[in-house]
Amino acid sequence: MIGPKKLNTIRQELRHALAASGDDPIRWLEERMTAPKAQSPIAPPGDEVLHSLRRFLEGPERGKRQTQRVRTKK
Amino acid sequence: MATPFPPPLTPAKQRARRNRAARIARQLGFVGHVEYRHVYSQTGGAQYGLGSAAEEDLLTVYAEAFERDDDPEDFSLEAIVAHERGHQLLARHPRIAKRVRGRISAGSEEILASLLGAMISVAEADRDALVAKATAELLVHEETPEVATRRLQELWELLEALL
Repeated sequence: MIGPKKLNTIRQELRHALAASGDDPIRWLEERMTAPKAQSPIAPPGDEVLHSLRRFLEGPERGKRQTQRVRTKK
Repeated sequence: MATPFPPPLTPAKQRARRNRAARIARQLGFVGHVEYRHVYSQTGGAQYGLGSAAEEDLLTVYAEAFERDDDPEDFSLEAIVAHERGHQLLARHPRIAKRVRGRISAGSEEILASLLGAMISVAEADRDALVAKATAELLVHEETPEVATRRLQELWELLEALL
C-alpha cells in the first residue's frame, strides 16, 4: 500500500530532515554526491538515490506534469 | 477526498478506470487479476493481494488512486501501481522472494516495494517520487539522512542485481 501521505508532505519532511544540520537540502545532497569516498567517515552512496532525491527536492513543478503530457499523447 | 465516498461514476467510466489500471499493471509486468473498486480505501489508492499462484494474485485499485493521479503534487497512478508491483516482486520474483521471505517486517516491505517500484517505473518523476517515499519512511525509523541514503543505495544495488 502506498499510504495516504501526499508527495508534497513527503517533500516537506525530506527538506526538513536534510536541513536539520543547518544546510540547504540541495547543498547537503550535492556535497555527498561529490565527496570522495575516502574522505567520508560513512562511505557516500552511489548516484541513483541521491540524484532522485535532488530532482525530487527541486520542486513539484517538474516531472509529474511531464508524465501526464506524455500519457495524453499516447 | 473531501467526502467519505467518491462522487458517482458511470459503469462505463469505471470500466475505463479498470482498463487503464490494468494496462499500466501489465506494462509494469504485473501478473494476475486487476480490479477497480469505486470506493475510498485506507490504502492510499491500491492494494496487492497474494494468491495461491501468481496468476491468482490480485491488484485492487481504488477511487483515490485516480484522484491522486489528477493532483500534480501527488503520486501518479503509474507510481501507485508500480509500488504494488514492487510488492508482487517481493513475493514472487524467484531470487528476490528467496532473500526476503519471512525475514522482513511490514515496514521494511513497504520500503523495498517502493525501491522496486522506482526501478521499474518508466517516468523519471515516478522513480524520484518512490525513492523519496522510501527515504522518508527510513527516516521515520530514526536513521540520519546520511545513513538512510547510504542504506537505500545499498538496497538499490542489491535489488538491481537480483532483478
